[in-house]
Amino acid sequence: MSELEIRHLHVVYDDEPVVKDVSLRVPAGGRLAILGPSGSGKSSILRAIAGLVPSRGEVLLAGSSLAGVPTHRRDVGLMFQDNALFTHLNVVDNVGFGLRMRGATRSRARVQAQRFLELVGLEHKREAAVTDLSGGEQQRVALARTLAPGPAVVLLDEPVGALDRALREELLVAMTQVFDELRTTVVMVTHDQSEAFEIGRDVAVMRDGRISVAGAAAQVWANPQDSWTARFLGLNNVMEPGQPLHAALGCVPGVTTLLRPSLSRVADAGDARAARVLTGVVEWSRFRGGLYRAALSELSVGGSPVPGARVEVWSDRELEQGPAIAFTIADDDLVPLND
Amino acid sequence: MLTRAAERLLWLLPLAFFALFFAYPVLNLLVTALHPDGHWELAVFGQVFSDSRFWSVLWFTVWLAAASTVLTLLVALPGAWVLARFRFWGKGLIEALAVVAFVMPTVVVAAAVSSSTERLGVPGLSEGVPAILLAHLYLNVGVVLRLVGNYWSQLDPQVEEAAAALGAPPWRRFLNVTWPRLAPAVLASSAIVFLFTFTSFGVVLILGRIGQANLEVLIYRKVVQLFNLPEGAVLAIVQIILVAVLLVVQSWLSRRLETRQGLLALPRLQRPRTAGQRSIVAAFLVCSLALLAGPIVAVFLDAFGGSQGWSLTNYAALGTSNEGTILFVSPIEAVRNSLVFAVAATVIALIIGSVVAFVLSGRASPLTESIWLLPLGVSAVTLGFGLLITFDEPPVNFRGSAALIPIAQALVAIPFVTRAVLPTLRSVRGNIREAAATLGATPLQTWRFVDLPMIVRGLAVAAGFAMAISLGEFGATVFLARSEFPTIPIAIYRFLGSPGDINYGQAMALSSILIVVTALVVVGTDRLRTSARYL
Repeated sequence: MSELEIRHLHVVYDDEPVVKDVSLRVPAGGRLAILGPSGSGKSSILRAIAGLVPSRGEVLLAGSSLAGVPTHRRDVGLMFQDNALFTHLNVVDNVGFGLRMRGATRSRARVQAQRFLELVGLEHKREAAVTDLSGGEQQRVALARTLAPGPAVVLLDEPVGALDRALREELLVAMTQVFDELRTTVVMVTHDQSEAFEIGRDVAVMRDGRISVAGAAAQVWANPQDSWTARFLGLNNVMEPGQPLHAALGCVPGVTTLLRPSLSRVADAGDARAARVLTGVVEWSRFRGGLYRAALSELSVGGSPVPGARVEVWSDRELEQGPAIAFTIADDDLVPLND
Repeated sequence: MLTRAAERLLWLLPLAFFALFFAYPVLNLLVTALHPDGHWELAVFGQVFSDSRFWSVLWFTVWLAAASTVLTLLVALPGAWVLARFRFWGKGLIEALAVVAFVMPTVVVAAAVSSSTERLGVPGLSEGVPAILLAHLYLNVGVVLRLVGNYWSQLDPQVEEAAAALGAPPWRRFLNVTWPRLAPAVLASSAIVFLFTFTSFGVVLILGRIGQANLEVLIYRKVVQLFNLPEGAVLAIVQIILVAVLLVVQSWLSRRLETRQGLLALPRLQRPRTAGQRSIVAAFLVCSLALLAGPIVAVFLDAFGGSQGWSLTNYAALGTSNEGTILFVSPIEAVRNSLVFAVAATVIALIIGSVVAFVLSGRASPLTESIWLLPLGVSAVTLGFGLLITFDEPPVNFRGSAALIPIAQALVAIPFVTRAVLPTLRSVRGNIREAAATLGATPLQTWRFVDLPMIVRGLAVAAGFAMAISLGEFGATVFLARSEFPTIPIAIYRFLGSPGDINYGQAMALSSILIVVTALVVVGTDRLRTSARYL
């Protein structure tokens, strides 16, 4: 497992720059998730690392440059978005393909492939035709095929993209276990933030070919840097200077500020007059897998009403509709943004 | 991959082949017929068009093709639905039987239909229009089952469920939701069936009552029985024009089918659950077995049966020479001839057909592509006759040689080869090559382990089809196979046209052999399409 570093990477398709000056570093055994909407250039980064598209800038694997190295000698595994399985080969021969290319005999490749089929839980389908497999099974074959030759770095392009939710969860769990066990260096791209934070120890958010924020997963979540990134991560309480709530909460003047949605509830409504207490009436509340998301309106801060303002709060219990409820605002609930 | 210049050069091979063995003979036939003694004799057009017989044959041809198409659709559409929505025991068998039926030699089908309907004992069913319709149904039901069934299976059933949830009763769901989405596939397959039955020859020739003829049979009778070359040529021109129009319609309809979206990559098949579904599937199994296997079984019963009960008499008779009677050689010679010609034709068709596919897989305009992919627009009868009169004098004299037979058979098979190879060439997408590269395959290894095995598979499927078509080719071969070189279909035709139990028995014995060979070749290679193979 090797360290991967990208320096000032540019990719241009048909005169259209799709990756603009991207620099990233993944330590050996690290896992980076690149998160961004479709068309933001994420896949192009992977294709550039694999040497499948021409690029400017540097790609370094274990410290040495990959410039001029053809794809088949780069020792990177790429799991394609549509799997790109070999339909003329059965499951075990798909998985053993990379070993065969590195000179293993067929029988040896099949023995080795077996281990990876067990890893993804498909040992019972080893002789099946890949076209007879379900979507989830095909993706697991693609994963095993990518891992089997033991590449220095594994690149995953929307690895669970086409799957339904249950399968997605199952495969994500299986993948993290496999990566932990093999100590694989991983770069994954996805448009789904829950996937990104589940797989990635580090997360980089991409927008229009550039990295808008990168860092340890928890840090990116805590500090999304700009309002676009915050909203992309589902953090919607972005307060711009001049808005009544911005002033009422005492945010730094002139600085766009994010109010984190996970606020602490105050049991005693009597505290509502304290300066850093937000009260409001639940307008609607929805259960969103594990937590409730609710919109509060008719807000007041420290007892004085803030007309027209509204915030979203996340809570692990359902928030009752009816009388106003109160939350304290701690210092770290207010996150300054760069725009 | 190739430079433009190299690509142009590669085009020369199929172009030269078609120019020499297709365009030239057909033109030569027309010129010979209409331009005798150095001047054009066009009065014959007036003669043909003022003949009421011509108009009645033309009407019969159109009517017969339309009736065959409608019948095939009525029978096959419910079956296509069953195949598209359910997985059940015996499905693979039915699909294989349908493929075998599609490539079954027309002469054998005619024999099988007359044999099986005679066993049923329904009066009037074993010859004339009812028998012809049955034979056309048998030959073409697989086209609709496969084409419409595949397409239907890719239509998301949830859309119908959505309509149901919106309050649409079953008939409205079919009319307003299913049918509009399915119609392109139904129309495209109808066009193919209409085209095939419009140019039907062997079936109509053998099963038609006296005086019953479609255009193809009329051309044959005019030329072979009445030696009226000019009128035959006029009829051939009419046939060429009509078929060209049909081909344009057919390619337009098929093209519409390709520009569709929202199809499922993996069909959602389910086991039949309710009692209603189970009985529908059971009914489908029984009906399709009766239709697709019944005629074959009847042939075998007749081949092994006889006036003295079960015996191998009919097969034993195949080894004896019939010199001076029906064939100049023993029927077993015909089997040998058929195999030799079919192998030669397959090799020619594979070479020319895959060159065409290779060039088309690069950049080809849709028009070029549809021209090369279409089945030959000229009737097999016209082609055979053209070849016969063109290559009987120096510089190319094939008179007395059998070389023209595989060439004619290859001409008929080439479009099928191209159709089979082209998708596999295109399926080796850049994506798959890239996957191989990321797994460490050098460009050479990628070619050896990815491109080649995928193409080989397409070639094998193509070879199976080409072989089956060559084995069963009748319209062109009937002109070219002189008495010394009969093929199995020719021998069957001769035996069927002769009175006596032993002649009929030999026809059935030969048919059974052809059935077995065709089925083996097609089922064997068709399996390759899906089954996994190792490196």
